[in-house]
Amino acid sequence: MMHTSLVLRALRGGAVALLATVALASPAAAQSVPTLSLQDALTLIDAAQKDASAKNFRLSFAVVDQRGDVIAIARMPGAGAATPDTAVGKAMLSAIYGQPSAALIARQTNPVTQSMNDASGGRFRFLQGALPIVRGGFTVGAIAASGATSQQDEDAVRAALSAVNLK
Amino acid sequence: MKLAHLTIVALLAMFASAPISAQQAPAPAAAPPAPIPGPTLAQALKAMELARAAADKINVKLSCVVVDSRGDLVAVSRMDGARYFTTDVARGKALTSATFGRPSAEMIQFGSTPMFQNFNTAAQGRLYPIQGALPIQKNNQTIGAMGCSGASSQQDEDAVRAALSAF
Repeated sequence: MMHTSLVLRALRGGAVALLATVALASPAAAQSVPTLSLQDALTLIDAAQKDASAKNFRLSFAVVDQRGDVIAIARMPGAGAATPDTAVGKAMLSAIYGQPSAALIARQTNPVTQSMNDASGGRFRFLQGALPIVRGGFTVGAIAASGATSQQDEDAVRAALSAVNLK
Repeated sequence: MKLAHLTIVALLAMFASAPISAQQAPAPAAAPPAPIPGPTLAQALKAMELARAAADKINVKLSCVVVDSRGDLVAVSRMDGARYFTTDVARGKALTSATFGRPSAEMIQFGSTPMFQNFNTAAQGRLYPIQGALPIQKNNQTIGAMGCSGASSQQDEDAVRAALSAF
């Protein structure tokens, strides 16, 4: 427990140091850290849904903020009942690490990642299908899809991110 | 040994004759009632919009969740500024309302009974028997539920009521 909290504190310290560096390095970003609004999330989900419909997929989508907390979820008619929670689990992982969930699959057995998963209530899903949402050089959240193969899930999410201009 | 053999033959004969008697008296098969489709994603997203408008009017920040009759997620939205845990609370209220087909406000007393604890254990502790969710009903059947969280329970419920016309 002691070990876990120390590791998490070290991680948090690192994140703060990193934020400070970025803020100092670019004067434009020093004014405020960008965030992700509900409107952004709904626009992304709408775009992802259009892409999935065009391919006749029935998917669920989740958008979370940089902390991994849910902003919006949508389950298309016919998508499996468990797919929204799977999408949230992938998106949390992607947002917290600021990387595509596909790049994090090998971390499932990493003790530090396991501690973070415990801290999140064991909700991480180490599966392809989530991409971070980056705005002004900051990871402001992540979007994930679930319901098809994990490559197809990721394709729908990528299509949404390229269709929506988040500035 | 021989007795056992005879018994088996007799039993087989009994079972073999069963279908014949069934054929002699065919029971008229009643057509199963057509399932009422649950809330669609389009309806759920429209309902969210109505609930947000109601929340804006009284200047509160809500999370709202729509679930189907099984309690499975259809859509989630967290307004900018709503606390992170409100999505889980809204989901728990909606789940309670969908499970019992009643406003979650009516389940508060029931919430302290051992019977409810059993339900909650089966639902992995996700039920929230507090005011703020209403069932979505068609032809006297519960097809889903909607719950909100973030303000006072009465305000949460009022936002849901303002949104039910979307279904």
